[in-house]
Amino acid sequence: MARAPYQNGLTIATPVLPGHDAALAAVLDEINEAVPSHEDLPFDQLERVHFLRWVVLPAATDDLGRQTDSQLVLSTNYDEPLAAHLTELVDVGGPALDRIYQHCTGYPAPGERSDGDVISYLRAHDVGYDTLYVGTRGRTVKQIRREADLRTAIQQFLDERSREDPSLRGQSPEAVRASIQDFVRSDPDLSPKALLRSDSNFAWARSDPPEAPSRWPQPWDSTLFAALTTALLLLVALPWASGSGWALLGVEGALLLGGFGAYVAWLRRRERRDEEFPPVTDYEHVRRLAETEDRIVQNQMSSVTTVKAGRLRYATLCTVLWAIDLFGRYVYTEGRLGSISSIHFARWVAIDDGRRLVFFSNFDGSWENYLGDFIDKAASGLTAVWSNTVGFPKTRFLVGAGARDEKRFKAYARNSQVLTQVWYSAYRDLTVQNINNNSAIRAGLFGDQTPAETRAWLRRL
Amino acid sequence: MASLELTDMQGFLARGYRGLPEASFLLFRIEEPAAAQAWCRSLAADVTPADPKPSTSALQVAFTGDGLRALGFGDDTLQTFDQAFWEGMDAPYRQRILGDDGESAPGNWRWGTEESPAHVLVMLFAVDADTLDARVETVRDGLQGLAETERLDTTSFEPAREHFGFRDGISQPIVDGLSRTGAPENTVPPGEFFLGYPNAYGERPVRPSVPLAHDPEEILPRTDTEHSGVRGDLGHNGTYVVARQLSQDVQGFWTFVTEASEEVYGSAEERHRLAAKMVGRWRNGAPLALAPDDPDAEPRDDFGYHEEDPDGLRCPFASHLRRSNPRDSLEGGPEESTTVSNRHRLVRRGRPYGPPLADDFDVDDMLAATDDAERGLHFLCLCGDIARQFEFTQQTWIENQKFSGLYDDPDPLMGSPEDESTTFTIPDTPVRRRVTDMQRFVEVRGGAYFFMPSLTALRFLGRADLPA
Repeated sequence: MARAPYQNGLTIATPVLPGHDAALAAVLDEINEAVPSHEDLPFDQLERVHFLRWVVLPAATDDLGRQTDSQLVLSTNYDEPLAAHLTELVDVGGPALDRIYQHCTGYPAPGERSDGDVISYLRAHDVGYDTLYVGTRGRTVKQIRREADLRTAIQQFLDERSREDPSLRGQSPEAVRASIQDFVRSDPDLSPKALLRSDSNFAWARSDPPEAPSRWPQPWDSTLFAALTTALLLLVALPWASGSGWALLGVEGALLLGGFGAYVAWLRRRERRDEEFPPVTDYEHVRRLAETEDRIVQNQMSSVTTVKAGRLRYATLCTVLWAIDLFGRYVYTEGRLGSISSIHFARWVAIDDGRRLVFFSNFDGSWENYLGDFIDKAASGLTAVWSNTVGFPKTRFLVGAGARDEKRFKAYARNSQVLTQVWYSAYRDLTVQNINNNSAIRAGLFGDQTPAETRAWLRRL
Repeated sequence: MASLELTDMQGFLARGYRGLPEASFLLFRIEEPAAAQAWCRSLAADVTPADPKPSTSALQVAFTGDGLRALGFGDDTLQTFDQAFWEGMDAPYRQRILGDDGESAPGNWRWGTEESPAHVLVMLFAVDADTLDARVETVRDGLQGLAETERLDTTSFEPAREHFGFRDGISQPIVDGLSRTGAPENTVPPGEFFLGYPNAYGERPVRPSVPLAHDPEEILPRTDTEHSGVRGDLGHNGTYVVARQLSQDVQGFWTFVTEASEEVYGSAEERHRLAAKMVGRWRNGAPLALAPDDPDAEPRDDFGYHEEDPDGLRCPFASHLRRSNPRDSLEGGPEESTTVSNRHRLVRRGRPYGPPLADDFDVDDMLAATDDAERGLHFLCLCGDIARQFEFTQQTWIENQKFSGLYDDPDPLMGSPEDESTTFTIPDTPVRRRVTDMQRFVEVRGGAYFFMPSLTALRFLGRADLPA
């Protein structure tokens, strides 16, 4: 059985040439107007890209007065491998990349650049990510589109069959399933599926779906786990090896406890000193953002915030981001982050040597619903992340209060949001729940089922 | 239990005046601000408070953002209200939130637009038509600085129902602090509807307020918000009122249901079943979740979906009832779902308008009727946060074709299906039934967000020191 491929995130940050901001914005606006089929970048021909955005992060000054120039950030969610993704991007959108990146520092001049140079340029500015959450684990763009077509065709078949053959309603669940199987096996030219975009027949649907594992390790996990285990073992082994046993273990325990206590005391001191910002937003800014929203089934959010000063703050942030990334790959792999089932992809990226934190997400439904879910269902995790940035509502012990202050949190979210200049979705009419349900329909189409499984499978239609 | 200052609140916050079946809503444009302030002063004495309860008639008053602007308030006051309130229901991007497109686009509205603004709303309720007319005349006689732009009359049906023939107004949240009590899962904190009280997050959010310079007589209580200093508390004991005139195509609805029931149930006789599936209740109000096969069961409201109907086999996920208040059936388990649902509740105070298509509401009579009078619902609801309550409900539940894991299902009753690919999915055995090519039966004819001030705030509006 084929193994399901990895979906990954690419983040490319490039400095904008001084004085080029307006010209760059004009190019991006023009491209965005023509999504998904701009002539310089026909997005819908990209077979490996789930979501793509370009965002200009405006120039900024941090707490300590350090300047950052404006940067262009390209963020994609793609099907691995990376090399194939970049090659496809340059193949399909080369002219657009040239028009965009001529406004960024270091982009090779025309005449001197090959496709390889463009790819090298992009790779050289890859800033990675700290946390990546995926709601549709293991499903490629192609699979998502195909399975949506399959489900549509089955539904149309059921509509037609119900009209033509009222006895369908008197049949057993097994018989209904068998007639759906017959339909999928039938001659493609006689069925609505011949009209569908991705395949002329459903031969693919008769093969087993790719095996979707329940855990998604990354190469660096094992190194980290090994390091942690070694540290733990050393802590235990050293006392015994030195012969002083319990006493040394006690000292270690005391040191660790003392260290933790000192950390908590430091954190609480900082939290008490944090400024409480009013729940006030720039209304024009909110209006500009809202005007771009609710165009298709999904919405997007790009936000950039300033990390609070201090190494320990940054270390706290990195640890939390790492832990959430790990949870997303080992625990929340079935399309739900806790009980939030509306997130396709979301990522946090610390940029500018950890001075700023970028958040990009692609989610189903309204901003108001998304923020409500944050507060109602994920307040602790989000508080642990964003409390390390300036302007967040006051917190207690890293995870307490914070995002639960509804009005302040919503104001913080809107204030830190920036306009996304270009945004593309590969499946504009599908929610995470739809995509995962479509996969379950396909997975249960053929093969053995118990009567209860067949009844449950039919309820997915 | 929260203690509410009922004598300072307008009565409409506490009750819908079921005992005063006659009602008329008057809309005004402010033409001369100073004279309009004088009118506010004279009107204040006639406004009905929440306590004591009136016996024969009631008068309530509310203002839009445009209305407060016309009185002379500036952005330093307006922008302390919800952004939705001062931007207005007809702001262009709200169309996508509310589903107000096509015939329902604000450009086609009769009122609530730039051309036909609603500045002030006066609502009159009375025990009989004569009393109502007398009160309307009194209001008209006392007008100063305002011009009447609309008189919106209402119709009352006994028992309360809407024009398609369904019992209405059965499900309402219970507000903690009012006299009506009930199940804890249907009880919400007063701040969800009354400004100045703790809301569902346990917070007392910042309220609408005015600079002290507007209030030299110190009529308003004082707020002290850290960032903006001491201001006059305009919002306390007030609420937002969402008003929408929804026109109903009764024949269109029953024609569609009759044809669709032939298609999906094989018989036009099943039209009441299909209509009930769309609504979520039988015509008498009995909920499908409790009485899937008994149209004459008791019209109750004490039910959930998690235990009774997890798969929607009784009450479809796409039905109007299930999506306008999902109760315990959202993701995350019944407890979390109830908490989440209760953060998006509305107190509904709407009234039908226009003559019934058939006096007995019999479907055959309605289909045979030859009358093209306009009829529908003056939808009215209260909320403490327009975006989180009314607009959320409209956008995330009613208008969302993806609600609860669905694909192409708008609200079958109130929704605005965009194209012929829309469906209504009815979970059933052995497999779902599905109505295709859904239609729109309800169009918006007008609408606005109003602020209904407390009696104190109303007195202030009459006496505020405003730039001429």
